[in-house]
Amino acid sequence: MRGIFTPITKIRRQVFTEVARYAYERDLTQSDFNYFYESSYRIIPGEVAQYRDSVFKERAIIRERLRLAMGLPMRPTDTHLSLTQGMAESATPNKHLDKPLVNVIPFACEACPTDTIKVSDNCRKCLAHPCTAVCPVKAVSIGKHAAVIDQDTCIKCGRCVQACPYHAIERFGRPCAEACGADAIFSDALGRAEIDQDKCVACGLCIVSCPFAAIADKSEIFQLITAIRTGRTVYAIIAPSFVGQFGPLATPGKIISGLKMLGMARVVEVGWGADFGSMHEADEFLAQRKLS
Amino acid sequence: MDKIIVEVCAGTHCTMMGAMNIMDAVASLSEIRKDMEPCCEVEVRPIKCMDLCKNGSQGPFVTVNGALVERAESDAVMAAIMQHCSGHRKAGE
Ligand code: FES
Repeated sequence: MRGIFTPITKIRRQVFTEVARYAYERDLTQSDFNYFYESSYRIIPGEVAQYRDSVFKERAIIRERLRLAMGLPMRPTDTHLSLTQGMAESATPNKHLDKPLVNVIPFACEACPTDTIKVSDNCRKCLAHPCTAVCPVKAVSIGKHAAVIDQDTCIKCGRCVQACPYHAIERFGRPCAEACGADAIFSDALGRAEIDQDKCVACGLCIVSCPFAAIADKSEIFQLITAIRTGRTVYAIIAPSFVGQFGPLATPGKIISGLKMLGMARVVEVGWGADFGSMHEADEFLAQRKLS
Repeated sequence: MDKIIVEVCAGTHCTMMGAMNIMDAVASLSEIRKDMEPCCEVEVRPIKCMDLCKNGSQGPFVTVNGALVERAESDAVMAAIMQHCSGHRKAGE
């Protein structure tokens, strides 16, 4: 869903707005984080669920997203822990993010089926039914109304998908797992996605692929604002892709001025650091050549 | 040919809530509609913050021939456009 503004983009921004607003407005001499109890009600107002089956669940998910946006770990689902636990300690510019950076919010995950081959209602139960003929394990049979695939027998070779003249057999999987290049997504005991943190490289592809917004990453937005507010010198080191981040109306010049207005002492593109890196490497290489 | 003016607020709040996406979506959907019902032309313009965001109401704010759409989404804006489109109204009668 990259590039399309969906309710997910909106929720993500609303969460960041809540965190950023409090980072700016709060009394720096105090460590009161009760503000965040209200946040989930501001983001999910009213009594009628907008995105899922209940407002309570929607708010519970928002609360975990708020914690992650504060750079904190999620809370365990089965033990009591205050929403603000750890916030006071992490509200300092010195805080570094702890792993895992990318997190599946378990109760937000819809436990989508993993790689599945399924007959859709496009099936016309045709006379030729080539799907049965091409199946190497005889998993496809013709049922009362349509072709039926026995999921226990199916080896997911995809031949029936190719053979169907009506495109009635489809293959689909978990968007998060399909997006993951590191093969880091597996299922927990309840069939929900879970990330193998040893394999995860925190690229974030699963975050943007999950249609249920069940995966979120940690941020340091609060700590950054606190650093600026407490008078630290902060440099913005931005990825070259910033050019395309804010739409065609925002020119690089505007973005850089904007960042400075936010309080950045200087804005540099990461590539600049890479240039220095290569110069340094080259010097080192030359020095070594001279020695030998 | 009727002209329908769609003004999309491009202020900070509205942009963050998806105004740019609405502009793109409405522009591309209007292209398709022009081929289907060549009765009116849709012009999409970005405008400055209308100060509506300052009183706590939620954007993005869009006006279609002056009529305000709050918490706009591209489908709601398209629906408003279709209401203003005379050809479409006739076809629906
Ligand atoms: S940003 Fe749109 S009304 Fe203020």
